[in-house]
Amino acid sequence: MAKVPLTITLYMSEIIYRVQNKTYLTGRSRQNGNNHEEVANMQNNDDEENKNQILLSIGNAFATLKTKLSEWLDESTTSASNAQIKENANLTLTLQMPSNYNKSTKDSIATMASDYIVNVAIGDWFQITNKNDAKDYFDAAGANLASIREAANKRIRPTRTEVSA
Amino acid sequence: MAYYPQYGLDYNPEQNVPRTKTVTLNFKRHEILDDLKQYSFVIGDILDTNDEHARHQIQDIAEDGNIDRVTRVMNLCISECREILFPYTKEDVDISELRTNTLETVEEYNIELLVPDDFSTTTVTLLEQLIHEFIVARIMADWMSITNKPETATWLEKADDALTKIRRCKNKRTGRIRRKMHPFP
Repeated sequence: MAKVPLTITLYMSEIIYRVQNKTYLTGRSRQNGNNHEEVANMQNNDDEENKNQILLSIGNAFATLKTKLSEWLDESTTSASNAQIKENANLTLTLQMPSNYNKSTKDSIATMASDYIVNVAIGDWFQITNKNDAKDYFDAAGANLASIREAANKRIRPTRTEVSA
Repeated sequence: MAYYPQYGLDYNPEQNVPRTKTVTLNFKRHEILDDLKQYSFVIGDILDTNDEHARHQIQDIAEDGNIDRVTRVMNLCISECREILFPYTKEDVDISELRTNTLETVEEYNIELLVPDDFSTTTVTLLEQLIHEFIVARIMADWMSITNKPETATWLEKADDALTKIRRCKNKRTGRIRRKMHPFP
């Protein structure tokens, strides 16, 4: 049976925005009037050292995601490196799904993959700037992975082939 | 004993009726695959687990890679049926034959039978349905033995049951069986 190609594009700008927005909101809600510096550190921004840390986390999360989806990933390259991913390069997953894959779950896979990367990036960031919240994000990332596997493993009911006269 | 070349060398007019009728049992691969996919889907669907990976392995019976195992067992089942129906399917080997284990995918299988003239058409119908059932059950048993062991015995039982009935069909006749007269021992 022919494989069903499924391409998932995760826009880097969207991921970085969500990381910055969530860390901003978290910082704002943790303000108590005496922790201005801590709050500022929690709120990720475009400064080079901040951006580099987030890009590193996104790269690591994306690599883990590819391992989890390796059953369906279609990659033929035989070289890899630890070079940091580029801020302007979108993340693409090209999956070869079985012919009975339930396509209605493709949006779930895309959303959960994006959520997973965002949660890992924030978890990493909070390990440095806000340890109390870090575990919550890693737990959420774990749940995202489980959801991705569940969605990718959904199958449609087969339909009978019409007999030609 | 008289020789009747039109009925074959093993024809005995005292025991046998003439064999001049041919029956072709045609089995379409996609019909078998459709049944396999339906049954596997249901078994996977009712599997008492949250492990989606285990579920999809059951349901992916006809997917790339997996289909090769299905084809092997399907070919084996057809050969087995031809062998069981030996009295009607017998073909002499060529002077020289070469066989390889190359995987062959056949879209339609034919089992050609040279049957006694009094062979019943109802038996032919039953035979065709039993062979289909046997093939499907045997392949399911094989696939379950890989992906979902507890189900294996159920399907093996179905396959064995169909096989037993195929063997019975082989010996069915419409005419009366007469004991030969032997006035002197």
